[in-house]
Amino acid sequence: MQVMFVLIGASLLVAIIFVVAFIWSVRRGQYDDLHTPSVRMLFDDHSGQEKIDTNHMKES
Amino acid sequence: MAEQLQPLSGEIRPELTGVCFHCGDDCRGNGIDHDDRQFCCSGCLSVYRLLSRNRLTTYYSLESCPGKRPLSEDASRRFGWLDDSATVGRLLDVSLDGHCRVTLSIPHVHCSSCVWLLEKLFQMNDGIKSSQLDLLRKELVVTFDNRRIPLRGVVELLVKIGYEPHIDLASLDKPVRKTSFKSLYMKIGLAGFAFGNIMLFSFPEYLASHGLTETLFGRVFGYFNLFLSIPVLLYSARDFFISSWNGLRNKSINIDLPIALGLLALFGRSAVEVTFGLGAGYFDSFSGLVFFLLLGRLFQAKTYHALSFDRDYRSYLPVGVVRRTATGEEVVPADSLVSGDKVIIRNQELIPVDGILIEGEGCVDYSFLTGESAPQTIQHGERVMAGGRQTGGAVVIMATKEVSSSYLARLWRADCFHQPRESRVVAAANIAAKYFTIAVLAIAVAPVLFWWRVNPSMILNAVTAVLMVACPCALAMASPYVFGTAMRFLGRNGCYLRSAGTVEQLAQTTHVIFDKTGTLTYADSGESATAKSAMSHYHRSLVISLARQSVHPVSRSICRMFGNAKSIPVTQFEEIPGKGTQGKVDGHLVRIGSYEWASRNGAVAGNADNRPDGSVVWLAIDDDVLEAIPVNKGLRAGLGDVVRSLGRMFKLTLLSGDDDASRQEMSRVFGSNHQLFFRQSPQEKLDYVKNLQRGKTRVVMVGDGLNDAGALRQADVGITIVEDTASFTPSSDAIIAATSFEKFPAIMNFTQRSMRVLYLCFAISLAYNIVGLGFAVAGLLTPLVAAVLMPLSSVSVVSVAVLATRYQAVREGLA
Repeated sequence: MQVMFVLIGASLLVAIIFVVAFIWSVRRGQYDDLHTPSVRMLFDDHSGQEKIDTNHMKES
Repeated sequence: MAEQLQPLSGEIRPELTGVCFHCGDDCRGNGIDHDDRQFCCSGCLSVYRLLSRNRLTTYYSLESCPGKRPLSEDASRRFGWLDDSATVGRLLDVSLDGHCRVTLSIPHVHCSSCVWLLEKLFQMNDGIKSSQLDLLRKELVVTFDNRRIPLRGVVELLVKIGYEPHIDLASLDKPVRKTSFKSLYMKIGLAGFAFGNIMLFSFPEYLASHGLTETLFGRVFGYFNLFLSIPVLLYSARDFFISSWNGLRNKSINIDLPIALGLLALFGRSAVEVTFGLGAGYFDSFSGLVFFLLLGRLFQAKTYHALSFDRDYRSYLPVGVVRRTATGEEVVPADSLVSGDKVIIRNQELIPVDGILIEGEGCVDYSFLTGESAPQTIQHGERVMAGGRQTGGAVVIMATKEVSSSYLARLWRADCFHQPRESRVVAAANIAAKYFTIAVLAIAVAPVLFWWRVNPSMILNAVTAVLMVACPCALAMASPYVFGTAMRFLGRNGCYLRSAGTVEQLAQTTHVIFDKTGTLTYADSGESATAKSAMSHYHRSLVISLARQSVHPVSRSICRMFGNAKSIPVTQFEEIPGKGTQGKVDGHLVRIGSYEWASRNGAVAGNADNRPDGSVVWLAIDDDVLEAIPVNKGLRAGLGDVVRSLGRMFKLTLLSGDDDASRQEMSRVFGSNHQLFFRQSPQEKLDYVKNLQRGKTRVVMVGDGLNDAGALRQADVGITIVEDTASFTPSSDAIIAATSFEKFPAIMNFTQRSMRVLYLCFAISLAYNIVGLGFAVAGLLTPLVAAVLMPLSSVSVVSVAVLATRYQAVREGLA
């Protein structure tokens, strides 16, 4: 039964990874605009436009 | 969708013939053919050419006719002030050499084609590195190399493709970026994460008959739960503690105080139980409560990004004005004008600064400022006020003041603009919370007295249990979900609220005040005369040439109706007040006016349907009475019904800045029970509202212009009516789209019904609290009871709130 502690630890670790990923995505601005990406993804051509780095936005 | 995304083939789609390929306007008869496609004007064609040269015609295949006719005016003149490097510096978000970023607001943005094209700007100019559009906020972020293309170039490129950015004086002083929900999302994410995992760890505890606490598993799970709850307490729940502390410091009790007490009791007792091995604690209830409460906040926090409720006078004024210098003209930012500058103002331009007319003949429309609908004629040497709109020829004025000290700015400095709004209204939930908290504290004392004699070791247990179970989470969730749902339904019907709390304020209304011009009548946007005229192009030209000479509202609505006809010089122009106007145009005698006036030369109308009530205006050319054009005096559609239904619910008042020419018409609409006031100055309107508020009257002010700004702000709820949400509106609590004006009574009814739903939810949550208190006082509140009671009360209150509010919306026809 002692192996349960390892499993519980592992599950908690996975959960924490997801929380960190969530916080990272919020801070990166992925939740700032929830509408436009849904329109943008339907366009066929992606000619390699340089994405705006939202991290710069925080500095200003 | 997939079909629409196919690249454009050579043939034109049949449904698009007869309309402009670019903007969708009707262009039968006078369109321009190019590439087998029709365009309504050279402006649209030039946009098409520009896009096809840059291989960007996919723009037209995503949505049909997505474009906007570019303004024919010379962009280079209007944006000349963008050469001023100080001004440019104030507009840019980031300004490094070679790397600049600017955020531009573009009102025309509306569809996926817009997204596609505006994010392809870099294909049209090498200097533009990238651009990203936010469709809801209608904001475009452009990064560009200022050594290769100046900001002016970027703006002019946008103007060329029909997406003119809106830049006003207020945007120069970079406002704080609109509120983002980043921290709320993170708080909810963290609380949800903790809630889920704690439930998992607590699950064995729910099932175990004697409790797991003594076993190793029980201890480890308990510590895990404690560890997971600490960030929830310190970060996610932070706002509840801050808010209740601020409330206490202001000597008031708000809804967050009992919540904060409950949360502290839950966490404190659980921590003690876990560390001393006394029990499993209530961490699941604790984190779940925080999670649901925060979800309520998110639900309520719906905002309308594209709308602005807090505009001040600077957003009304243009940024660039034409200043006359010794050597010629130059375009400068309006706020750099000083007393003595000579400013050139052309037709339909706003006067940016108080001054004296020194050249030309002024005919200034002050309707936005004063509510008066007829333009004023200003002679040489007379004063003009900032905020008026010049109609007619160009004039030169000499500034006597700076922009910031003009009449317009002074209007904005009235006291009422400096009062904090929130302090004036105490929300129902907070009133309930006050009594609730007092009652809870009283109940918490009861077990102290009881257990004191029976078993003193149970005191702490029972007191914390009371505080925990009395935590009014369901009560606190009722209003966000009711108001949040109500706000969504209102938004769907063209009524946008500044915040969810406005629903409650609307429901308490007892008195509604209307402005007239622009509120009950159509604003100057061209819908007052809507007849389909059968006249030929030539006759239209004759009529409009005459109408353009006149400043009478009827003439101006004819101008708008025949807006695209050519103008011909007029001689022997004559205007008789109350009758009509006449003049010789291209050798023909043209008359516009009453039937008697038009038929003066013995002309007879084809259909002698002589309507005497003045609701039509007659046109005559030479001896033929050509046509009767219905002139809707500009009253909004459905006004009579709106006033009748509102009159049954509230007291009504009309406060108009206009003269009482329309008194008769208005009293016909309002009936004799309601008061009508004319010639009201902005200050008088404000004072009227203030006087009413001395009693127990809750006032709603409905207005549109700057002359209402003070009253809108003073009233319990200020509502502005807008034809176009991108246009300027004075600061207000709610914005109603003009097309939704007819729904106004239904909206008021709906807010009142929503309040009833709220009280129902309060009753349900109180019932849960009383049941819980029964357990708590008896010392029977086990973690399992808490874990069942808490989510049950929250979920039932939330679902009643959402479903019942929805039902009310359906009943009022707003769903």
